[in-house]
Amino acid sequence: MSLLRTEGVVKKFYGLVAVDKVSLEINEGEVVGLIGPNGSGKTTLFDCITGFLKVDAGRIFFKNKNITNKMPYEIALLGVSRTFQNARLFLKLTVEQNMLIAAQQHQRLSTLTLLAGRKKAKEIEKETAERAQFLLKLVGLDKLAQEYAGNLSYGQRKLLSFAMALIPYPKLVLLDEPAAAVNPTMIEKTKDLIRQLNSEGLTFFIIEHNMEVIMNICNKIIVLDHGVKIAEGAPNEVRSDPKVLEAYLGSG
Amino acid sequence: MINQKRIRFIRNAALYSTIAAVVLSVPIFTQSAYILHLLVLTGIYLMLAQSFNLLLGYVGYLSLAQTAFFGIGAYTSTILAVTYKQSFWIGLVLAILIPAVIAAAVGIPFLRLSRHSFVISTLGFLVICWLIARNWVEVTRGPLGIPGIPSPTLNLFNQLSISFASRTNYYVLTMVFALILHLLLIKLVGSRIGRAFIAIREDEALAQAVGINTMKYKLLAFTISAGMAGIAGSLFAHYITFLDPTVFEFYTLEHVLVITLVGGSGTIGGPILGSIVFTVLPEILRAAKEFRLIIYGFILLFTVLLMPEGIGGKFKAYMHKRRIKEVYAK
Repeated sequence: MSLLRTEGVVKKFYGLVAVDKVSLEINEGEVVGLIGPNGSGKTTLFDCITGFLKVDAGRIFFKNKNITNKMPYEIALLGVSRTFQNARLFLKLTVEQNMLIAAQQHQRLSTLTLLAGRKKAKEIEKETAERAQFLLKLVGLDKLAQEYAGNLSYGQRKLLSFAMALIPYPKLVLLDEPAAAVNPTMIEKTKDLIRQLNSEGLTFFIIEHNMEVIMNICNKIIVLDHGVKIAEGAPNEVRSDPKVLEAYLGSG
Repeated sequence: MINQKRIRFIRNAALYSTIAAVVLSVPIFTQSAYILHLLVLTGIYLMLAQSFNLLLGYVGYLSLAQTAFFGIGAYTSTILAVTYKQSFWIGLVLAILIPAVIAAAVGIPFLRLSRHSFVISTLGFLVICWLIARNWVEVTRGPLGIPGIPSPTLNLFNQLSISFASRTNYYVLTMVFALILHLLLIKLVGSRIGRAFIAIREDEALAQAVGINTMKYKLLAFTISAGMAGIAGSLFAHYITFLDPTVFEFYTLEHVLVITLVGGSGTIGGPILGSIVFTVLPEILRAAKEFRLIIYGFILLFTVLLMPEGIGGKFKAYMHKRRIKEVYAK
């Protein structure tokens, strides 16, 4: 079943066409890679999908529901989690607080249940705290739960933002360069995590420059160049596609 | 776990009731009208400072309109009491509601702006309020001001009537409001709503990405803070018993800025400390009245440069360091 579908998405910054009529489809249970040279519009496409940028043309569907130009929080609440390229976190809050904030809006608690059903609210809070602990352990940050997020190393920040994206039980996770500037051990850890979560049914859409990672974990790869989709297919097909080689190495 | 929670609950309840008892029993120890006068003003400015702190310290938006809401609350309550002969309590309710409704209305365009533009638009709003108060003479009597604002009285079941004309009684009235307000404020900032506020302060885009409707929460905070400022304004007018457009002027604003920033925005205790220090300090500096604004200006400047987190923020950082050490020691 198609989970995410874009139809002819266009995003212009004044004269520059950053994303040019991109149509793509991501099915449930896939790990899809999005690659392309610097400035080819990958992050811009992510921002369009998650509502941070308004598209100039085209439509975006999530689970066959039109989500084009919806607010970012609305899209997040539908089950689309994302991380940012520079591993954005609430730096002055602790690791644990970051996790709790990432979870809280997804728990459908009306103000009334919060006021009247204190027992239920407490149960949910306890469950959230346990899940936060579980995910922090999964990414290896459980010992740092009381530390300020601002005191983490860059690699740890990436792992925390990954854990934050996972805590609300998302359907689709968009990762923006999860392996960039991360040491090899942590890269291996990230790869294992993605594989493990994918085997449990979670769908991923990943921007990454590290080809080894992309070739290893993705079952489909989409290539952008100057905002245009130039190739799509299994890792082996894409690797030998002449158009892709030209985009990366230049025509000579 | 449960036992620990119960212990914490009992400890907090004991702490709060002790604070309340101490605060409310001050008139037993001192009958000095001068000290009580200073404490009433402390309480009123504290409520205004907390309304400012809720926005700046928790949501991250510097609003210069808080003194405008203070003034609107004061004028609402005053006009109802003097022109329409309504009781203080009706005036108080409207002094909360009218600023809150105005804040909700102007907040929709203001809070769409960037943080810097927001500051300027709130300053513009304050100036507009000041001009209206000066020029809408039929209602506000303009620069002449409105004298003879009656002291509040409380009728219990048409039997017992308490007048708040005396310093002691007004002190108790102010402190009861201040205590209730603080209790609600502590509840609010510790709740999920408070967490959403802090998330917006730290990183608005990330807050959106984790599903927070940032506009809704910002508007909620702006509305609540306007209501808080309105209460303070109403209490101020009925205490001073005279009201003119100077409430909208820079002095009030600077006073509140100093209380919050030096005390420490983003903490509840900071403005409490700030309001005590900076209500007493002007009295000490009385001899140098002309220099007061200049001295305040320097204090503000040095705080922002050297200690932007304020005294409260420094204390919070220290406590966190201690906690972290404990965690690592385990």
